[in-house]
Amino acid sequence: MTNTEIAKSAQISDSQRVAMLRQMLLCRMFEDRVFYLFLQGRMPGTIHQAQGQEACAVGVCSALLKGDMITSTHRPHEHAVARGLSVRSLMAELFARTTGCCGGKGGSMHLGDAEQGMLPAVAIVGGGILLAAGYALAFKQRKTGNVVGCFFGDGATNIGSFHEGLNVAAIWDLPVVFVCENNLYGASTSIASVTRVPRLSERAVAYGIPGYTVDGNDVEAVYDAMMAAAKLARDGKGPTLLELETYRFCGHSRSDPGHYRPKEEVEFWKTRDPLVRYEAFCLEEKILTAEQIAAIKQSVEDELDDAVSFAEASPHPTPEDCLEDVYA
Amino acid sequence: MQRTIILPDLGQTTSEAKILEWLKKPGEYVERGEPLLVVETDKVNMDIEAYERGFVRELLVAEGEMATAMSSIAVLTDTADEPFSVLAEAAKPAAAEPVASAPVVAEKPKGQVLAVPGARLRARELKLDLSLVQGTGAGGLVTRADVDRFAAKQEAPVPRALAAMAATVVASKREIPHFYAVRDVSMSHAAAWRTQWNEATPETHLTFNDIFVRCASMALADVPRLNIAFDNGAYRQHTEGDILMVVARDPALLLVPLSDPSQFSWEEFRNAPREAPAPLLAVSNLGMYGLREFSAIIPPGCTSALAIGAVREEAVVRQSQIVIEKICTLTLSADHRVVDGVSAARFLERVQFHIDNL
Repeated sequence: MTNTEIAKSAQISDSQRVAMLRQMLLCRMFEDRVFYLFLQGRMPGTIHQAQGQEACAVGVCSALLKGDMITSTHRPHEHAVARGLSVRSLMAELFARTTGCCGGKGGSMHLGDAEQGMLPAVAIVGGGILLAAGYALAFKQRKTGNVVGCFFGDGATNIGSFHEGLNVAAIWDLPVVFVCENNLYGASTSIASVTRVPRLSERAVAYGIPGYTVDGNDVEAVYDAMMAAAKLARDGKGPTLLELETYRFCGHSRSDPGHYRPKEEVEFWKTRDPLVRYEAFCLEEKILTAEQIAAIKQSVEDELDDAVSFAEASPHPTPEDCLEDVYA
Repeated sequence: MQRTIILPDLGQTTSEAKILEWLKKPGEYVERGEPLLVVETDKVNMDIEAYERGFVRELLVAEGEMATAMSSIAVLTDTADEPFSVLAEAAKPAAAEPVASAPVVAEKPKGQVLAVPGARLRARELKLDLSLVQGTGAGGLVTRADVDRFAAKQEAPVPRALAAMAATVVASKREIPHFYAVRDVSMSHAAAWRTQWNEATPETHLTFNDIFVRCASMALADVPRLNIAFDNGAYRQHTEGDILMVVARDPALLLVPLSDPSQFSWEEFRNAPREAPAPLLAVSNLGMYGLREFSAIIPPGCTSALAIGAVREEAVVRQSQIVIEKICTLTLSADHRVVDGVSAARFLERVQFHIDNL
């Protein structure tokens, strides 16, 4: 895996490329901003960040339609940004304000908005997989033609719900794409130390469904793979397992300095930074100029400034708000 | 423009961290996102990145010292040589006593501050930097009232001992299910005995407090139920009558672990070692302040706490006669995970017994 180029897709227009680059920048800069706010003590709690995994989130979500659904994990910020939830509502949620996507009652690990196509994230490892299968069953019974994109990490592939969810989706031909973001570590545990399967996509064989390993730091490769898998699902041909090979540049959470990762490994993956690669691609293909990219970055900064001001000016939930959104 | 960098809350079990190393020294430039320092928390050593860019001008916490989450640890400026000031709210080294809250100015431009002479005088008295005071007079003129207002706003730092006490009592009240047993004990015999003792052996002068401490230690041997430690669901019987003496000290309390006073004679009592590893009975006395009675919070690790009021004269009825007696009210706070009401009552009864048999 020394490829730092982009596998140019035949089905992506240049205007789509600009939109995808901006979404990836928004993901990265959102995460960076949250990190700085955390260091400044303005944002409380611990956080799980995804810097380095932007091509997975944006590649997958760009291949989805309105009405489709995604499920997410304890590391949901980039999924939510890529799915198109407003940065204001996400920032407000992180600040625990009523204007947040969950009314300020969910926080970092429960970002989501079902109306916008993202079920609130489930922080339990593998917890989203069964919800994804269930949602896909609803799509199938209602014949909506929609699919579910189900994000989880490499750590989840040894969880019971992975087996149950993939199996039930396979036998019922459910319209779901299982997206495994393999960033090589489940918290601090190397995936190689907990499975003998060299490629996690091979596990699809056990369920009789297709499985592919894709360069998760190449947004166009991810997009193409997701488009193909989503088409199978929409056509009633059942689920696919996609393994996206990627890397998180940060620790598992803010309190994890990531000492378990060799320095050379981190340096190697930095050369494969999905943003560096895609910016270089857009320049080379003359889709954008350096000035235009700088202007996009500035507009993202402005959008984030606005989101932070909006969030900090919004009210916190009141004790009475605890009684809202309670169903049982 | 200057920017103050704070130590983030690192999401660990404590809010303190040790500054191991500054990766940037004063004069060096740090980019946003670049590692600025290495800290040691109770779990790991980790790099902390700068969340602002600029020239490092002042490191407020030296390498090897502790800093509290959210306290200021460094000052950056946009340019390498612009003036800046260091405010006193900056983190202080752990060992240092809290100092006056007035801001200390490292460098400041020699600009003229508009102020009335009284304000200048007042600022000098309070050791305040006048240029930091917002003037409300004409053209921003600083008045004496402005200086006073500014000084009042500077919060006094919380002494560390006080903060430690706060944490301890909160933990104790949260963890230990307290209940209280109160008994008036007669001190008439003890008072007479003490007067006699102090006349006969003035070199070992005894106080009422000494009598209570030693008698409580003896009562502990009589009621072993109070001498059981509760630790994470496990019960451990102690056999020594060790006492944790609570001594008033400003600003917080001092705890003295006395090794089983019942094992020492009255002559040796004062020189008993103060190194008991884990006393289970705390004794606190506020009688000298005229309190009739009070109830104590059980210090973490202890099973009960005996609170002693003032020895007072009172008219009491003895065998259908009104007599004047010396009375003291004792309040035992006890941990109901270990002690029950009957044991608490028996303990106080045994204290009275030993006081009566001096």
